[in-house]
Order: sequence, then C-alpha cells, then structure tokens
Amino acid sequence: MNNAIWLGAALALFGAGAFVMTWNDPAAAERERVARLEFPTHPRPTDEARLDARRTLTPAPLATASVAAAPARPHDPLLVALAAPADVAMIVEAGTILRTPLGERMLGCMTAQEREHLEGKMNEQGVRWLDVVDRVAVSLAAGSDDTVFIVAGKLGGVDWSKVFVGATVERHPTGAALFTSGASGTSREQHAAVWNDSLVLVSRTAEALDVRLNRLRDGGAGVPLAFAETEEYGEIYGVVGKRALAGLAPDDLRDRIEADAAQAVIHVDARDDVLLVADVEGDSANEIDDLGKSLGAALAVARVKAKSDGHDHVVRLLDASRVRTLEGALRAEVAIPTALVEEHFTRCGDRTE
Amino acid sequence: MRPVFVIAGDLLREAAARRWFLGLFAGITLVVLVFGFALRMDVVDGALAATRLFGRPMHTDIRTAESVMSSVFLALAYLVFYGGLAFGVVACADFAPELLAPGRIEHLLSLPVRRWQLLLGTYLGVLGLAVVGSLYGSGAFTLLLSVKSGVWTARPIVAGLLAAATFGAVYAAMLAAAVFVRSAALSAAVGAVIVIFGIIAGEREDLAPLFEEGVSRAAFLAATAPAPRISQLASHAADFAASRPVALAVMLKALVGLGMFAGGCVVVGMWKFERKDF
Repeated sequence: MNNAIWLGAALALFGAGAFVMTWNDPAAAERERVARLEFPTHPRPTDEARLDARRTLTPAPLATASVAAAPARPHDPLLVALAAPADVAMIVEAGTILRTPLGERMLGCMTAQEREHLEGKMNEQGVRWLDVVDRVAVSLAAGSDDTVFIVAGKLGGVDWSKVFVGATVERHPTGAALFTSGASGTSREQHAAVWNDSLVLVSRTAEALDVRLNRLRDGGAGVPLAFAETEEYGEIYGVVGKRALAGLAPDDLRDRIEADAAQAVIHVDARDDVLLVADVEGDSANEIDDLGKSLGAALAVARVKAKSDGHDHVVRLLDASRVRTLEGALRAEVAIPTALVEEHFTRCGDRTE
Repeated sequence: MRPVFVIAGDLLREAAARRWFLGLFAGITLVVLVFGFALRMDVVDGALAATRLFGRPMHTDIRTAESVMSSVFLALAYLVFYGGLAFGVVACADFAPELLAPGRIEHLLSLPVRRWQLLLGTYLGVLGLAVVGSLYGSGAFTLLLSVKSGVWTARPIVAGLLAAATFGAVYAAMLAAAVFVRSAALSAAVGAVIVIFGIIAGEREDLAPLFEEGVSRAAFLAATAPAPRISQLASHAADFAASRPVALAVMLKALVGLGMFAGGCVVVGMWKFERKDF
C-alpha cells in the first residue's frame, strides 16, 4: 500500500474518533448556544419606542439660558426622580417582567397562603397592583437615609388613604400628596409622595422626597440624571457605584474594584434566558484591563472549583459568563439559561403544594 | 489474520519465559495480600459495624455494607485504572523496542509474515497482557473485599477491563513512537504524555473556558478533539464499579473514540514500519 492510503486511513480514524466523541455533545451544544446569545448591549427598537413614549416631562427653562437656546428635550419623570448622586440607581420593568416566562414562574412559585395574603391585601386596598404597576425603582446612597423607592405606573384610580392607612396627609408645594406615618426619628418613620398619579415615592426622610419633588417640578432642569436616558433599555437597568460594586465582589477583588472602578452600568434582558451585562468604567484604561483579566481568571477558577465541589448549577451559570475588556472599560456578561431558571422554579413546586 | 494471533501468542509466551508474568502477578498479589491483611471489617446483619485499616479504625457510625463498599469500589476502580495505566506504561515500554532490536527483527522479517501483521500481533499481545493483568488485579481485589464485606459484585472487574481498553489506546501511541525511534524511554515518555493529554481531553469542556475566546480556545478544542477521554473513562469505570448511574451513551462514545485513536496510532506505526529499512 502506498503512503497516501496508510496516512489517509490514519487520518480518517483520528477524524472519525474526534467526530464521534464531540458529536451531539450536550456541553458543547450548550457552549455554542451561549456563544450565540445576544446580550443587552444596546437599545432594541421596542426600547427606543418605549422611552420616547415616557419622555413626558419638559424641563423648565433655566434662568441662565439665553433667549435663543433650543427647547430642552423632555425627560422620563422616573429618571428625573431617581437623579444623581446615588450609589445604586436601578429601575426594574416590573410590569414587563411579570408577563415574561420568568415572571410567570416567579408568580407560580407563590404558596397558596402567600397568594391568599396578596389577594387579601389588594382587595383591602382596592387596587390590582400587578395590573397598574409599570416600573419599580430604587435610589440608594450608602451611609445616608437618602434611600428612595419609587413605583411608577397608572396609579390614577388608587385610593391612597387605603394604602397608607393611618398616615397624615398634606400637600407639597409642587401639588404632590404627602403621606407621613410613624413617629418622627424612629425606625417606623415613613414618608410617601404621590406625584401626578404616575409616581409614588417612598423614603424614611421627608427631605429626600422634597428634593425629588422639586426636581420633578423643574422637569429635571439643571441636575444630572442618575444615568443617561440612552441607557434605559432591557428589563432591569441602572448604575451601581464603586462602593456597592466592591461589596458585591469576591473578597480578593474587593480592594481592586474599589480602587480601579468608577461605576458599573447594568442591563438585564429577562425575556427568555436571563442575560445580564455590566459595563464597568474606570479612570485608568490599564487598571481596568488588569481588572478584567483578574475577573476573567476568577470566573474560570470559580468554575473549576464549583465543578470539583459538584455544584452543577453554579457551573452552568459560570459556563455562560464571560468578561471582556473594551478600550478602558470592561464588560461582564452573565447568562442564566432558561433551563436553569425552570429547574429552580420546578424545585419550588414542592413548596407550593 | 491467523499470523497476527500467532505473533500475539508468541509475545505472551515470551513474556512468561522472561518471568515478566511472574513479576506482574507477584506485584499484584503482594499489593492484594498487604491490603487483605491490613483491612479488617466487621459486618453484622448486612451493616458494617467497624472497619480497621492498618489497625486504625475508619468509621465510627454503623452503615450498611453496600453503601460503604460502594465508596470502596469507587476508590478501587480509580486505583486499578490509573495505577494500571502507570504500571502498563512503564512495564510495557520495552516490548516494541525489543521487537525491533537488531538481530531479532531480521529474523522476524525472514518469516512468512507481513510487516503490518508483525506490528498488529505485537500490539494485540500487549493488549492481551493488559487484559490478563487487569482481570487478575481487579478480580483479586474484588474477591478479597467481597469475602470481607459480604457484598458480592463483579462490577469492579468490568471497570478493570475498561482500564485495560484505555491502556490499549495509550500503548498504540507508544508502539507507533517505538517504530519511529527505537527507544524504551521515548516509548514510555509518549505513553505518559498520552495519559496526561487524555486526562486533559476528558475535562476539555471544563477547561475550555480557561482559554480566551477565539484562536487559543479553538486550538485547544481542536487539539484535544481526537485524544482519548481518559479521565472521563476513569470516572465512568469508577461510577460503574460503585453501582452509580453511568451515562451509557457518553461512555460508549468515549470507547468508540478510544478505539479510533488506537487504530489511528497503530496505522501510523504500520505505515512507518512498512517503509523502514532494517
């Protein structure tokens, strides 16, 4: 036999062996599927249309503006109410999420007792919260009481006296209704403001609400927003400051994140697979590059450790996670596969019985 | 094919004449006896009440003998698998160089046997040795543990045969290397590299994320694609020995791939052997 036949036979055997061992490999198929996932890195056309519809708050003209200045573009009132500075400013498209497969599974996970309690509360307050709430937002400032929770939606038909039972009511100069409950200076002190039948702001301090209501009155003129309106896409989005980011990081990376990162812009697409993108920005491109490599290595090591510890769900989560460096910024992408979400909520089936 | 089996039989006879068999069986018997004398198990009504290894108590709580022996058989399968591979690589490294030794090879080539038959016969002879060795080792260990615990199973013996099959792929590469360069040391080194590479290939899906996406990851996946999945087969063998669930389809694919790799290596060896001047 000549050389070509011998070597051809050998190559055919090696090739056939490789094909058989890699063919229909569930791990490889999952890896390819994850590689094809489209993470939320830019607004979808539906996000842009949604944002345009929400830009209803026209900024008041600034006293310093020249007569010839072009009229400012309207803002999303929720973003104005969040406003900077905040360590964490996040918006959750609660209404949308509850209508996704993920939201349906979350609701399906409630026990009969929890469901009964929620129904009772909604009947008592005379409002179907799941139908009227559009978004939920939070603005956190570390080390201060300036934490505000905001609910946005079609709140016109709500009888607030049934919601804030026992609270004193007064009118804010901007026209918003203010509800105060709990003794002043105690942990039970709570303030709420209802603005324009579309936002409810809740905080421990009256000052935090006052500042935000004044911003809303001015249409957000002259104050920086918590994040750019162009970042308003996905089902969960917002910014996380360096202190909060360091708090979420593993111990060995905490100091580096606090030193090198400025903030992270978060976007989550929860329509099917839950896809999270965190764009971390910093002052030094080199430091951010190094941080990206450290995070990538930490993910890989965590995956190997999870594998050796037999934590399969963590392995599958980390399989779909990656860190990329993009010219002075780094992008962390995490996918929670639908199958993993389903598995998690299937386990809660025992709880609902 | 008859000459192939004649040559394989000759190799076994030669191994016996060189007291190779004697050494192999003496080594395995010694390990089994030491383990047998050192291990003391008290099984009462199917439950393992106490275990002592080299005089030291190993468990304080009473568990069923089956559940304890499952872990023991798991460890035994790993021991036989990786121990057998390491022993085989070292002990069988000089078979092919001996075959090709000046004086002997000329004699063999003068016989009415084709060159590829000579090489295939040698390969099958060594594979036969591995099968006999693994049957004896895993069989003796299984018998000893079954007598002591009262849990009778043949699963660790099947796991031992899986180890022998895996060694077949490793030895195929060693044989091909020996045809290229007649050196026992090189043959053993190639065997060791294949074992390590096979361990890596078995975990390739877990290790791939350690490489950056793109060329380096693709190169790693391409390089490990045809390699035998040694660590994966070791896990399958251990799971089978311990009566744990085994992904049969995955194991069969790994076994078929193992056979293809072995075949490819033997064919490369034959190709070189056919062209070689002696």
